[in-house]
Amino acid sequence: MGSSVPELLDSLHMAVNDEERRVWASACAQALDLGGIAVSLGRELVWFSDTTSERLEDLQFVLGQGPGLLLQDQDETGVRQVPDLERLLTEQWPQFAAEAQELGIAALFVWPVHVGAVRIGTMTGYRRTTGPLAPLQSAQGWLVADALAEHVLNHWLVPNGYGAGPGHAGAVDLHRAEVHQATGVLSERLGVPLTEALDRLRAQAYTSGMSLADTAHAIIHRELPDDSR
Amino acid sequence: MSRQQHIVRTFLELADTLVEDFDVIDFLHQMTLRCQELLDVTDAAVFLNHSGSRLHSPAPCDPSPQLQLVLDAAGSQGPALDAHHTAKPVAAHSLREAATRWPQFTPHLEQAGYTRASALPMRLRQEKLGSLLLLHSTDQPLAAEDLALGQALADAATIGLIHSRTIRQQHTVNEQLHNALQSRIIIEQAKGILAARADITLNQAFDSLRRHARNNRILLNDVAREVIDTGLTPVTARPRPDAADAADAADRNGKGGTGGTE
Repeated sequence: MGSSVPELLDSLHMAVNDEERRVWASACAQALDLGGIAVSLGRELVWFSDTTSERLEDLQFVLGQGPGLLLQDQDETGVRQVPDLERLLTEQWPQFAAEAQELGIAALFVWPVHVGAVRIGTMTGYRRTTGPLAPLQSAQGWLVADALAEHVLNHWLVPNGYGAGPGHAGAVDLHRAEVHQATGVLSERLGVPLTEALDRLRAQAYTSGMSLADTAHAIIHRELPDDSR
Repeated sequence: MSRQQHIVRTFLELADTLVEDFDVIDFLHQMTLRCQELLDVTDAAVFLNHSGSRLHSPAPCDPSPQLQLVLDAAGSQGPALDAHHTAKPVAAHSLREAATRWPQFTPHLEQAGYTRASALPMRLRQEKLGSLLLLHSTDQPLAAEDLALGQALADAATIGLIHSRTIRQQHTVNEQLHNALQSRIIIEQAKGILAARADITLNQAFDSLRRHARNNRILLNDVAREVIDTGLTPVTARPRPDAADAADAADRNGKGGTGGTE
């Protein structure tokens, strides 16, 4: 496994089981100069590099406090930095701050993992020393967050639809317009939020055996008037 | 308006855009329209490199299905990718030449009815950000002065992209690329919602979004977010042709007399 961020992104699709994902996350944390990272999709912790990261995510969910939860707010589209946990958190999240410090954590950083307006989850990194992210770390963190979003779109299990393993739906590029248009169409037709619409789209692709791109194309063709009148 | 006046106006308009709080995706979309008007090209598209080896096209936001196929192919092979990698202009002067250089890309080009493709690099000092793809359907090669003007437009697009948030926040180039590509995704999601809600085509939905943004002086991305989050429907029904024309005319007058480009 390579050590630079671009090399790691290329090997992301190979991390299919828990242990492989842990190794991958650990290498990623190292490349980003962080003590560890954890990735949560919705409220489910799915990637973590080490037990400290795992514990940190658990704490946020259990206590209902912490920077990761703030990113559920819709206006948060930037990376959330808590460069000095002690100074910033004791007032805002007293219980979380105390527990996090007990784990030896000095600084926290959270990147949203999103597909446009669909918030899929968060990537949280910690450090044992205080201080903000270097610009390069922040930028590379985005690369990782975007790669994770694409990975989820392509490989992650659809709720209620087990078995959609890697490569099943035909890898689709995150920036494929029709996938996002169809997500919008489904959201409106079914009266569900975009996040759920994207799940439904992926579930439809899985059950029909068609690719995500073809499923999206079919939905647009079926539901909307044609542009080439 | 003479060509020179048109050019001057375009750059004044760009400079104007840059001083205000502006929307990066709307800006890039405008850039592609200006390229169509000012250069002798049929279509133009912006390509960005964010993660991995592929390029992605954030603009135009309303490509025809045929153009979309060309853009999808151009992200992994062709002049756009070569101009990005070499940081130099790249052109194929005939379909035969293109076929030799880009065997996977050229059939898409041909099927969509284009005769030639060229691309200009988008770079910021040492950093390679992407490229501007120009698609032609005539046999005339791009004149040297058009090429220079094209590069000026590509440079303006680069400045706009980098500048889009730096006034407010310190952002790295990679973050700007991330933002530009994500805001295009938000536009697509809003187009899907609006088209389904108002029973209109995706392109009509995009026109409605843009018109609403213009008329109310709101950023395009904010309009898209409102459509998604609050149920805003900036269109009453399928626009009547005359009403749409009137709105278009108002749009053009407001924006400085640039002609129809579809």
